[in-house]
Amino acid sequence: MEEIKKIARELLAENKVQVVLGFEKGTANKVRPAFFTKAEDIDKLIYNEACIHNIALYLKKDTCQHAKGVAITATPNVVRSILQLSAENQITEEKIHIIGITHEGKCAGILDFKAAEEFSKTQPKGLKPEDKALIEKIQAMSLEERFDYWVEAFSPCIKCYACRASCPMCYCGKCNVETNNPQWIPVASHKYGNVEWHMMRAMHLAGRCINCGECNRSCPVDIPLNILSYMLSDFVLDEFDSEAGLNSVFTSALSAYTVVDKENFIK
Amino acid sequence: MARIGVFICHCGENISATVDCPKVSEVAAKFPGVAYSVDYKYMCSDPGQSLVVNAIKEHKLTGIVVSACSPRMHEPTFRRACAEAGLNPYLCEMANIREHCSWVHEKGDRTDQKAIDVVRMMVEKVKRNNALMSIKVPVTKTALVIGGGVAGIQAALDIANAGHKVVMVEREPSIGGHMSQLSETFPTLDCSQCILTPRMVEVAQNPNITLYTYAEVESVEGFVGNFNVKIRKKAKSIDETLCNGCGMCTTKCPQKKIPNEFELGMGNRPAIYVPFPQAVPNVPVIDRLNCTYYKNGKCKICEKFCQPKAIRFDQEDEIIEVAVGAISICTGFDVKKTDFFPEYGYGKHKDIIDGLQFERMASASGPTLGAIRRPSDGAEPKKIVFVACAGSRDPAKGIEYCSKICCMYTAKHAILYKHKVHDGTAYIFYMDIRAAGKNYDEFTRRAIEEDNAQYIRGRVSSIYERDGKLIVIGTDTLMNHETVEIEADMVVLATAGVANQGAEELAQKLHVSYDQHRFFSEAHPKLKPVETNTAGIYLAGACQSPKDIPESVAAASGVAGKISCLFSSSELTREPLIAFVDRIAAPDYSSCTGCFLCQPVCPYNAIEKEDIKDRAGNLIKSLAYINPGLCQGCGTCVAICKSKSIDIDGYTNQQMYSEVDALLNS
Repeated sequence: MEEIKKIARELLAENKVQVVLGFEKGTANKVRPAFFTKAEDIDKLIYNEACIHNIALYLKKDTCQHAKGVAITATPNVVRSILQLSAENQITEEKIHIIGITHEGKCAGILDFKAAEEFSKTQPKGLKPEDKALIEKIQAMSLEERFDYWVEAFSPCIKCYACRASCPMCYCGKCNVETNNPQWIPVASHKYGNVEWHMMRAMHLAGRCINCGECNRSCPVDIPLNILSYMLSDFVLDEFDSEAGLNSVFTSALSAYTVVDKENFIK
Repeated sequence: MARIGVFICHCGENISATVDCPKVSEVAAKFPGVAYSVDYKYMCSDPGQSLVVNAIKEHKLTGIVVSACSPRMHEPTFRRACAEAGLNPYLCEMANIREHCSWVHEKGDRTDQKAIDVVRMMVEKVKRNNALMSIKVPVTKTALVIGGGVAGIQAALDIANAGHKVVMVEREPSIGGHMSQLSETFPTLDCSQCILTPRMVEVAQNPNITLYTYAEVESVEGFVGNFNVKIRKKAKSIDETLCNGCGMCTTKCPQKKIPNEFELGMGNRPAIYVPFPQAVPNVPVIDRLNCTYYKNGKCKICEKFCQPKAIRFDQEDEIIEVAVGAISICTGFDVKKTDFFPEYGYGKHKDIIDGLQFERMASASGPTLGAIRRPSDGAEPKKIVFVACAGSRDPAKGIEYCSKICCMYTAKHAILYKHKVHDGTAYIFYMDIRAAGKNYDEFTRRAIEEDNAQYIRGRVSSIYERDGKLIVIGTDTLMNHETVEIEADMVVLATAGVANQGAEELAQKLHVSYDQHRFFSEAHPKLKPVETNTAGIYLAGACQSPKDIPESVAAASGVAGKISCLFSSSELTREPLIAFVDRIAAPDYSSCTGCFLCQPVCPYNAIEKEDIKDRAGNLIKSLAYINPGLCQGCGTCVAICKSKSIDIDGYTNQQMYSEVDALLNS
């Protein structure tokens, strides 16, 4: 912990960065994401097992966008997000200083993107046992059963869009759901309108989702959206040998074509 | 307020026999925004077009829907009529009630209803059409011909003789293709080499043609009129400018036992070689896989004997970039080898050969100098069996199509055999004799009547070896399905013609479509037989489907005609139906997030990066920018864009949505 603080303090003191993104103590023994702009404030910077939010999300917010340099305390999920954001031309390496934190909570020092790629490959994705059980349950279903399962799972959705707001990959200024000329996705949260919204989001994330699970964590009605994305990622890995969040340069499975793509569906 | 005109065409009786045109017109007149509706017998005729022109003027129409045939047929006609009446041509839409209604449905209320729905959709669309201006792009008057077989040679010579530049790329060390391997050609039995080699020399000598042999297309970018092609010129290890073709190197090369590809393995060649004596260009190449120097680092005997000092062991592949306006694919075909057939011994019997190998054997310049000999012991075969349709027309083998050329060349083989082995007997197992073509049937009759070819209508189930003979077990379907057993000295399989090696990769480089057999697909099987679906890229010869020489040559001349038309003016007019990235007010400037996921999906490399800067020159945002000269309006970027920031003029999201909406809410 002291090592993280030391790095953050130095970066701010030397004006290499203007903002450090991390966590501070919140109310009621909780933690909350915080922006540190002064070296003396770094005392308040904390990191513990409660700091699970994917704060890469804030890299696209104004405070970070306007700063010349940004440091970020980066758990494996955050590192994968950063690499994917870079692959999609949303951030540049010169600006981002990654203070790596391993899945065991140890400081891994400052990572450049190359080191971050190596780091990402060695860190496990945090899939909980109950997630694994649910995936197995869904995989055992027929296609019709799966569709019914998801229609049912989406039915409590109130379209608060917390999933979108917490997702580091949902960075579009104008989301498709807000397009009203024409209105592709219905605004009201009815049964199939909910399906349309979540299907669209799942398709937009296919091959891009880094599986941080933030969508599920932020969902007030507990829809297992992370499972949907996880299964899609798995499918993309299987079909196109491509995995999001491991490369800082472009590797989008849905955009890129290579001659080794199986394309079995048209043969 | 929209004032839309609806024009319902009867198409003679093509539409009116099935669809109640006056009724459709009547209903359409009541659609919101429709100011005028009429039906007429032939809308595309002169009086029909006048009807459209006058209605636009008289009723001050702001857009028209012509409800008739496919837009591929008459959209240009009615766009011209619009322009004549002073209306922007892109305010014209076609509602296809012929191919989509009358030709595919029975007469009845539901058919009428569908026609009405189709018109309603297009009325809703045309209300949202914008006036658009055509785009002009320059044309580079150079053609690329890929493949130097007979089709490529014909295309290149015709284009060059029309006064345009041609770049020809050939994968092998010499042009000539399969035709240069043939002995004699049906139905006239003139020597293949005698008619082809002068054409090959013409290619080499024509000042308009630049020939790259031992070269392959590396990549293709751009679009009709403006392709940028990278050609990989493989290292021949010879300085072509110095080599005088004396052939000393090939005679001195100590490697003599390399199977000769041109002779299909029936002869040998050295490591430094020209494929055949009449090769164009007459410059040898070093086969680096088999050359002693490249393998062991020692030898260089060819270099020692080369008088003009043309050997270059350190030569590297060269990438040549050329700008061309049109591309002709003439990459030809390949034939299945005998090892494709388990029932005929997986190619393990030496005396079972394929048709192309027989051609080499019968050729005066072939490995046996024209004598028919068993490959196993060199004896003259007295009984020879030809098996037609070996692989072709056999769904079990995955080749359900007819290879087309085999009936004719098998008849030719039987004739040639009889001319060379007077006391021999040729048996031909066949399914049908397909000899449609000028003088073709006469030719097969000649094989039967004059040269005593024994035609047996039936297939061969197996061939095996017994005491140095090949036992051919077949059936004779015209003789009560009796089993036929022939003790043959040699068997020739007329193996199926298949797509050439690398056809799929080439199609992907060129962005042209191909069928399930990896033959390239034409744009329309009847009306656009030499065009591909990609503008400016054409097809000739057997790369499209198995073809004989006259057909390949005719197709090649067709391509040359098409390309000459394309090159007849210095500018191309293109439809302005292209994609664009939206623009909105500051501080966002565009809903585009600059993720550039659209960039790799664009088949035309039309998507570039555009930087939005403030007055001080600081970067605010990077956006996708679609180059209107390159965009072909395919819409792939629209589909991939997550934020729906890209739209296509003429096919906007709003237009498509309105069409669907009109259909669902009718």
